[in-house]
Amino acid sequence: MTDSHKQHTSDESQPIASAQSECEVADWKRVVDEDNAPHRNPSATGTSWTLIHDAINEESPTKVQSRDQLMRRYWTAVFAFIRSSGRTPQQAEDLTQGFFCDVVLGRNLLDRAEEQRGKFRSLLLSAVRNYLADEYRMRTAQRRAPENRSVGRFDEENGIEPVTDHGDPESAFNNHWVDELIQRTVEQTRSQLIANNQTTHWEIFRYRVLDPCLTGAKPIPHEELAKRWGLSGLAQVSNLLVTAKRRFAKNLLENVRETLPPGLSATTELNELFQALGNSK
Amino acid sequence: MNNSSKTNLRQPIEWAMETDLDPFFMLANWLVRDAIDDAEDAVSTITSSSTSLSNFRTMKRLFKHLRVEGETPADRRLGAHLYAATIAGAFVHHDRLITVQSKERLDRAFAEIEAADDLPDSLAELAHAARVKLENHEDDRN
Repeated sequence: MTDSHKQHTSDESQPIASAQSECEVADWKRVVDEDNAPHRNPSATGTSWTLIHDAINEESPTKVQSRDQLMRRYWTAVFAFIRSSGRTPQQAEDLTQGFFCDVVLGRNLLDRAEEQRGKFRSLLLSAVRNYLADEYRMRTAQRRAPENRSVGRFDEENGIEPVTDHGDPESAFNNHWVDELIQRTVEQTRSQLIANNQTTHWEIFRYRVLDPCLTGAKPIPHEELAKRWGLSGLAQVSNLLVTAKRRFAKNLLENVRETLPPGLSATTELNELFQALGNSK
Repeated sequence: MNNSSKTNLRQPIEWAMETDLDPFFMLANWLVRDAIDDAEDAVSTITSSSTSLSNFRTMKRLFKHLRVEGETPADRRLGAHLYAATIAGAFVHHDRLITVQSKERLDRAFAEIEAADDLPDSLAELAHAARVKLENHEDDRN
């Protein structure tokens, strides 16, 4: 455990991630809430590995932006894991911030990621699991230290809620991981199609497939879309739709591939994600 | 994060899986599924005797459009093959020629499907059956 982590976790009077200035991290929760659009900085469109490489390169002029971008991507998944492990919202927020400060930057998780070249999702998941275990050990060790004091229950004394309707932590993490992946792919596909003068493709895909899928909206019938966009009918609407859908699917496939080590098929990872979503509550 | 959408998040994952597994036919499958309720995939719908004549006509329109307006040469080639296969399906299963193309041109198109090595066997068999039937067919479209 690093000194910085000891410092954070051994002082119960302080928020776990109070040393924000030490690791030069902005308020990530706020950043995520206020800005889900991934195109604010030059690193926004980089792959996870590209971002990692850039973030750990002390010479890189864009390392801060790359760190920002990595945290924007993965904050919600890490938060969901911690929250679903029984922490209160405030504790989960502090711990998430602490995780990014202490582990991702402080303990050079990114260095390890670069060396191991494993699945980035697995690496992050195991890192946050270990972080919580360390944090729990630190808390309980400190509580045992004073003599003539009984050790209280883990959940009660720490203000930790029992896990209720959040699903198990891993499912929560995976669910948010996929959600981020899909939202990023939506934005990427939208930008590409519009830049390619295929706004109609995008709108048809959105109204007929994407919105119904992601928000439960009712699909707009072919005839109405044809009328709205001045198209010849079902055949043209369907063809524009599948062209946009293919672009989206290819982007999603690439976004999944770039989190994988060489040799691991995207289908294996997609299958795992598919099953993981099925296991969530 | 929209938690209420978690079940539906599986659909985009499925699209990516289909793209990874079968990038060639995935487009045709999506077209058929979008236009025809309960359709599983393009090949089974084209080769099924339970597909209605109306649905064969719908597929013909879909693939005709793909043949002309497809984004890539491979899309247009697939569209051309499936356009002809749909005509073959309607002919074999409903005894109707849903096109004004001449018998000679149809025979050539069906022969191309039979010869194509990147199409499923079931389409080649359908095209073969259509050719045999076409040989003995008295054209009453005029």
